[in-house]
Amino acid sequence: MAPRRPAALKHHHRLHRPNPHKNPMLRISSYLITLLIVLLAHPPLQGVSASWSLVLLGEPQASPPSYSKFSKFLSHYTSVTMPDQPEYISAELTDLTHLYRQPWLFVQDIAAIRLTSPLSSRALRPQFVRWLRHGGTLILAGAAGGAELKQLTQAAGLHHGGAGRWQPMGADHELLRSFYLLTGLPACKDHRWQEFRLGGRMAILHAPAGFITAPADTPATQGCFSKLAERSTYRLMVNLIMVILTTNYKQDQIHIREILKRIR
Amino acid sequence: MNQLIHIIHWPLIAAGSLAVLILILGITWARIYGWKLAGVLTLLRTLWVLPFGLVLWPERQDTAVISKPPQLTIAVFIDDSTSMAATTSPLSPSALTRAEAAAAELTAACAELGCGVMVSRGSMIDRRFTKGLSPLSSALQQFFDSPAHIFVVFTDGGAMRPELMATPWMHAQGRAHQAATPGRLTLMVRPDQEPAAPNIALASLRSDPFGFTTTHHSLSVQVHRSQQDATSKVIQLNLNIDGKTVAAANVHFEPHRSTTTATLRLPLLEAGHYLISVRALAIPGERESWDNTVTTSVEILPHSSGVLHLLGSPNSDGRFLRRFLKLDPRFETLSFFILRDPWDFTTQDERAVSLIPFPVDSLFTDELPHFKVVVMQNFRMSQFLQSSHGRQLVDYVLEGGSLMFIGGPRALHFTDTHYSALTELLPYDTPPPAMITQDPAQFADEADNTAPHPELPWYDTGLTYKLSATATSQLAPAAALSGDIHRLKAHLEGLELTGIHRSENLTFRTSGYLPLISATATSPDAPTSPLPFLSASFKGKGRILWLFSDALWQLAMHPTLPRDVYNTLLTAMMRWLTRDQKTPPLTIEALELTATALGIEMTARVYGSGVPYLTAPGVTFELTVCGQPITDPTVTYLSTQAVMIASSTETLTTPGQATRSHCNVQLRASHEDLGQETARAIAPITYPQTDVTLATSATVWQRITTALGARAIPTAELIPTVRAQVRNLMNTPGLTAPLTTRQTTSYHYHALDSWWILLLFAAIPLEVWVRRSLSHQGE
Repeated sequence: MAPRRPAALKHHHRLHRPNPHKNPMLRISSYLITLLIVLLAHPPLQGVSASWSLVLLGEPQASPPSYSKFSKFLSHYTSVTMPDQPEYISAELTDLTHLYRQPWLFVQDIAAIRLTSPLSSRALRPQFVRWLRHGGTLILAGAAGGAELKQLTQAAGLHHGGAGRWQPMGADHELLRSFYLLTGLPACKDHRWQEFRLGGRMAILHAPAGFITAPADTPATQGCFSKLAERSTYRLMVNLIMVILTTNYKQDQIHIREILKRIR
Repeated sequence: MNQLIHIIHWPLIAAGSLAVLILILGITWARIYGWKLAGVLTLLRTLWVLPFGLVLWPERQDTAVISKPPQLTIAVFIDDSTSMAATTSPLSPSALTRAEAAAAELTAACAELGCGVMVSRGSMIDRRFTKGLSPLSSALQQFFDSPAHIFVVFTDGGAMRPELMATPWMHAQGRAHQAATPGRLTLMVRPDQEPAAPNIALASLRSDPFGFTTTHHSLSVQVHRSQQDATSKVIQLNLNIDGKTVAAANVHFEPHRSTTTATLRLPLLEAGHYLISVRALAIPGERESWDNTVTTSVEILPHSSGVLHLLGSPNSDGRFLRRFLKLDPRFETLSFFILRDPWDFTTQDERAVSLIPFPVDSLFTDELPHFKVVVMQNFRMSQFLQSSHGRQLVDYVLEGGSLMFIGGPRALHFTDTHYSALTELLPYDTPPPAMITQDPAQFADEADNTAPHPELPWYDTGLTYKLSATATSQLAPAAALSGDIHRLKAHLEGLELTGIHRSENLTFRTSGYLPLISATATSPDAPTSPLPFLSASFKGKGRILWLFSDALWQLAMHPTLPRDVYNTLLTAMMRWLTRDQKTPPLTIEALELTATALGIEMTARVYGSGVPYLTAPGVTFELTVCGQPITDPTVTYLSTQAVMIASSTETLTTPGQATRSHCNVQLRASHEDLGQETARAIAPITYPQTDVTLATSATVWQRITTALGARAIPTAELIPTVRAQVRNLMNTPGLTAPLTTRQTTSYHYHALDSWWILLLFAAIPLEVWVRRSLSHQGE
């Protein structure tokens, strides 16, 4: 949603609106002056606390990957801010209560939650499933077949009573329009973008390998995301963050007339 | 005399007498023929007389028997109702006759097996049974109280309708059999020989007890078919409202499936109570149509409450609140989330962004009165609303609107608390800028309100604190909300959350402000005085809830708390704000009305937050059933928020009224101070049918069998099944006993059973020949 601009900001726009009849240099300089005034009048990051952090499953690393460029992109174009470094949640711990501090978790390699992994142990699985059922969102990246995914969720009891199911992501999925209008999701070899919906929301997203590290400052040089333009990768991640934070909020925007009609 | 008979052993006397006679004869022969010949003759006479003596001597048999008397009991119930006694032709025996014969056969078989048979008949248990006044269920209930190991029930199910569906004890009986009592067995024997007819049955008609005028209400119903054939592949269902058919739908059965679920949608209805019934059209050959219809009642409420949800920046708390509001049908939520701040870059290609402008003018000028609640979450008013819109929001509250204010890093910003219309609504005295230590000009432009400013309600993102519910004694204006919070006290008390507005130096108002939940900081450098976490305030006709934190989502994601705690707390908050009856304090459900010879019997479950107050001092409640006041209903508490109410009217109908098909039940609870709450429901009246009018029902029979957890067997398999079960039970510890030897005496000439005895009679011609020879020698 585009918020109303404060009156003062509008005034600046009117004063410095470039005149197309002037020469190009004047247009550029006018634009830069406008930008400078906007930045000075509203310092973008001053006093803004982070409202999002990339929570990764794994052991904290001595030199974790930096997401500073993406962090700037996110805070420059959206009202969401994030720290440059990701947070880590260890899968080796016997207690996952710290998992509940964030309702989202990114798993770079799907092997970390396979049935043989510590996270899928009999001791931890109930906590993990409870976290998902209470509102957690899991982002999985890596190669896995549909049967394996189904086996994972079935072992967790997430299919019980028809509660949830895996489904391909259609062209009208909220991930394609939660902030940026995307024409589609990147095609990576045989990968099929899938989501597990639970209670009407996206509880698990299965993305191609390298998706989570793609917006990092030093992304992998191999894999399908290495060929994708940086801006496209950022936009996709921004949309995912918006889906996680706002679910299907855009539905209200589409149906605003019907909603207003019903409450009148 | 009896002792004497036992002491005298008649066979011994007889044998002794014979021996004496032979001895006398031998002495006589010795005097005639001499001792040697007399000895030979006596021996020969003894040989052929011996069989006669042996015949008189009884046979003694030793048999191994159980040392205790038989302990295994088989209880047999025979339904001797009218339908069981009926015959299809004069020549064929009735089902009752066949049942009696089978019971007699079982008794005979049991004599061999060492078990006892105890036969009960419906008419023995209750004299009214054969007249159709006492249903089969009550007779069976008494029958199953008997201490037996095997229960055998002969019935056609005829007298069971229509109260079959309301026999929970049957299911309890079935569960007890399967779980608690190993070896107990119930056998259902259907003594009639009618071939099973195709049948369609409806069950489990389910829907929310209330719907809204603006949305379609849905119902689901289970459809069963007895035979998986082509005639029952497609079933037509008719949806009736107050007796009129309003919609029809076809149900398709998949191959080899005998049960399916159909979902039906009601048309848009006016507000009120409706009797909804679903009827399945009969299929060819179907004999029983009574189970083709199911009924329920639905209350349609005016419309759902409109909620305008404004979120200053996407965060976890906004996500959880939105999901709660969207999933609850009582709320029609319109969300506006600020995804992009005014200072964010907009120089990129705007066509690539899916953002929609915030229609602030139309929303605040035209639409605001249509919303029951406005939620401002982590929202900086002065950033997005012009002063005129702020004024409209204040007027909205003054005129009776509700505001839910949820804090966060962007909320209660200096520009909001001092230079916006929000100032008028704040529950605390705003400190003038001159009183603020730091020059406001230095921080007024900051995006977030997270920098420490002791005189202002700045947001401390890292402050950890524990919750505690405020005492309820002074919260009369918000009694309902306070009561709901008090019920959650066990979950909320001591709960640790992070992130709250610091307000230790603020002075909150003493009137029109009610703290509900407070927070005590646990961080070392934190304030010692409790901070308000959730408070209620009143402004004009409006209500405001102040949640000074955006950490409520941590309640939903708490590792040990049930997920419902978050929903229950928010439901209570929204109910208080919307002031409507979307979740009435009292709701009647599972209403059943049954006509008897004396009146109408009513059972219903009443639930809701008002239930604990039904028996509170100063509360009076009036119950009206079918227009007749009930003075002494039976009230049984099922839980803190649910009671079972049972009563009966004194007459079947009120004077001047014809027999009804359905009627209303109303429960009104009144309190002098708290006002009154009314719950209503409508239900069809069930008129029990006598057994005479009810034919044999395969469907009912099968359902009784399933409910009891019984094994269905034909009559021919009764004896083998019982025999196998008895042998099985005999080997079960507890039923076995040491064997002992029992002697029995038989007088059935057993000596003649042996062929060699007959050889002894060869002594007769030998004795005659010896005696003749001796006679000739003498001549």
